Amino acid sequence: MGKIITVASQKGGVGKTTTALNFAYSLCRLGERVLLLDADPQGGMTISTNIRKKTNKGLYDYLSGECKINEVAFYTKEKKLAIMGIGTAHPEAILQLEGWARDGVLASTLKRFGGHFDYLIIDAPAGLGSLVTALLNASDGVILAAQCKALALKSLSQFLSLINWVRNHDNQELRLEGVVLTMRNADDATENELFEEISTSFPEDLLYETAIAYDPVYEAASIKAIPVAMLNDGQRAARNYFALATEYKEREMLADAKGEEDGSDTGLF
Amino acid sequence: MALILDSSEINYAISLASKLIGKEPKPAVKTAEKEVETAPLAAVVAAPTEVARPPVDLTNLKYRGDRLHRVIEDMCQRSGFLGAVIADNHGLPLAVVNPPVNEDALSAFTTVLGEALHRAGTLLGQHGAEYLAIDINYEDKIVLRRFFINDAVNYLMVICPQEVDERSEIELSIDQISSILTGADQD
Repeated sequence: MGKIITVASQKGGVGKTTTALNFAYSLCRLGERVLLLDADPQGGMTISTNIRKKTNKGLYDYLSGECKINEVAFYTKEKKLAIMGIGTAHPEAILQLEGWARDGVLASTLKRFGGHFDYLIIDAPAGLGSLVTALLNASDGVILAAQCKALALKSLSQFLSLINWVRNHDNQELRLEGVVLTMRNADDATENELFEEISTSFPEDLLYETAIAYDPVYEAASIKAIPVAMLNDGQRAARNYFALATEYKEREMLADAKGEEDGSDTGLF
Repeated sequence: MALILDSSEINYAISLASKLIGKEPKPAVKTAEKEVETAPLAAVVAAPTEVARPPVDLTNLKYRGDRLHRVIEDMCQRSGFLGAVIADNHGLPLAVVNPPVNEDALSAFTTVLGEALHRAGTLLGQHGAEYLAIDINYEDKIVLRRFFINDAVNYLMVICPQEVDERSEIELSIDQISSILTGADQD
């Protein structure tokens, strides 16, 4: 059973889709089998990956029973990375999706998807609605994307409250994996001061040490509908996400490490 | 000076994050100008204790609105409340801290709730109902306390986490607010 990780944020426009795409790509470059799923009715990921070249169908159409999984999820040139779009996105479909979210259909489907991959990375819609709550109900972990801006940081508590609520009600296993700071501008003195304050006040391990620096090359990658690492000019920016994926894997390894001797160890072989 | 560490939202986020990550918040950070205290989890989510504490220092504040603001700001910081408003019976704001929406709308809403509280008390035959609490989302609630100054009704409304027992803190603050509104603090 693979891990289901939702990339979420209370605020919109903080780089969730970019983070989900590039983080998933980086995990696959580290050798993991990854399914990247667009669960945002706005379809940002669907557009960012240009999956509509393959099909207009996606999560909604699969849930409504109109197609099979191999008609909506496609492997990319990186053989270990598959992508599924949101699919039909008219208002009625969005309402229906929220209904499936409330009924638990979405959660059980996601868990089934997760069984076929090492990681299911979900690009969630912004906010605290029923769809986001359902995604958290089905997830093993959540990565929050936030900008190092006063408003974004002050509104963090709202999403943390939702995580806490989900843990207390439907999904005790949900893990707050960490907060990744996006669009970081190291030349902005105020932002640096804010960063200093939060990095010295929030609990250890909440913030990923890797922050995603602002770089116009993300826009170029978005226009071409590819991860930034696939651009010649994007290698410096891509390093951020490789570092984030490595840090994520390192934390995962440390969290899983038990360090318990059972007394029967007699060497490596 | 701290840019956001004094904010109740950030302190609440720190306490929630500590709970979710399972680690204590880092110790207070010292800056060149001021020692910034990170509110410990207990201070944010636990009920205020009955231990006597010094009154808020209002000596340098000339205007009534500033003194009221200082009292509720202090109350919010001390108890982890997310925001507070004092409104009169016309729905006008007397002081507001961290309003989640426009402060005029919030104070008008406070008075509307106060009217509902009054009617509920009357309809249920419980004249003198002074206290109303509503859960507004998964984690937070608003608490309204009606109080009188020279027969005129006023309202204090706070927004706080549901697990907080806010009563004693609100009562203590209302004593201070009443003394400001009656001018007793200037005597």
